[in-house]
Amino acid sequence: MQDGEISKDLPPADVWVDQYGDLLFRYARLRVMDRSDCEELVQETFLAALKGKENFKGQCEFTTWLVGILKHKMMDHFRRQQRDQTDPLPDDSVVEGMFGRSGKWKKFPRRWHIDPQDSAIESEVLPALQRCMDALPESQRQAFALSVMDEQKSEEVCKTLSVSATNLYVLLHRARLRLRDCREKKGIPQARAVKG
Amino acid sequence: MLKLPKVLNCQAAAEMSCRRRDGSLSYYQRITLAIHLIICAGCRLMDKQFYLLDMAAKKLGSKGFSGKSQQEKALSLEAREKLKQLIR
Repeated sequence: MQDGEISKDLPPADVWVDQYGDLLFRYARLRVMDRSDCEELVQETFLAALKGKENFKGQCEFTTWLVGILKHKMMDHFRRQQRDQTDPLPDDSVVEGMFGRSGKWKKFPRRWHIDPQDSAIESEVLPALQRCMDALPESQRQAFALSVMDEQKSEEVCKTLSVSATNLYVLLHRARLRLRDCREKKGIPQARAVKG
Repeated sequence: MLKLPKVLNCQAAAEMSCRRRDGSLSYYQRITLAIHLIICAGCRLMDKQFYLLDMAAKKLGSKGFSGKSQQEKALSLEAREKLKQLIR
């Protein structure tokens, strides 16, 4: 697998699934909730790659090229989903419920002992974050994945998800509040306590 | 437009803290938020938590690429076989 990743040659199609299938699946699964949707996206990606393999001229790693196709397929997937959605911004009673009538915290935030530089963050904090992301409502999850995880410009995200800028900010703010709540309730396990 | 109460409460501060991360906060709003963060320890923690969440999310995004596969994060056997039939 490692060799396939560095090579800029076009690998034979019969090794694609074994060499790149899981990698593409993982990439999709981080951004798209549904497993079968992800498998379908991987399939669409491979088929498009097969059809257009003459276009791969070794200008980048083959993996990068495949992921580029997958990204396009994912954006299409998001657009299709948005078209089926009727109410772009329903109320979020969970988030509302985090604050009292006067707008004060019902449960005061706690200190997190997480050091972003700590290597334990990879094995413990990130998988837990993904679990918390999976618990987000779909629109919040997508907004957070594209804007924060992938650092896409807000105009692009607005187009892909067909939401207004204002609504995108609301989705992101709700997503973050839910994620921090999820972490405090279920506990993204503490990375090795740093100090304090 | 973000509606601001005369005195910023925690709920509005949470929204503004996010908006600052997403780069859409006016100068005046920044100051209002900063003042709230000085007086409210809970929101100072929240502000830090949002920072940590964003950092972790960015790491997750880049790591998902090359990270070690877990069983749950791999193609199912069925899907793999189906793909192999299609692509050769």
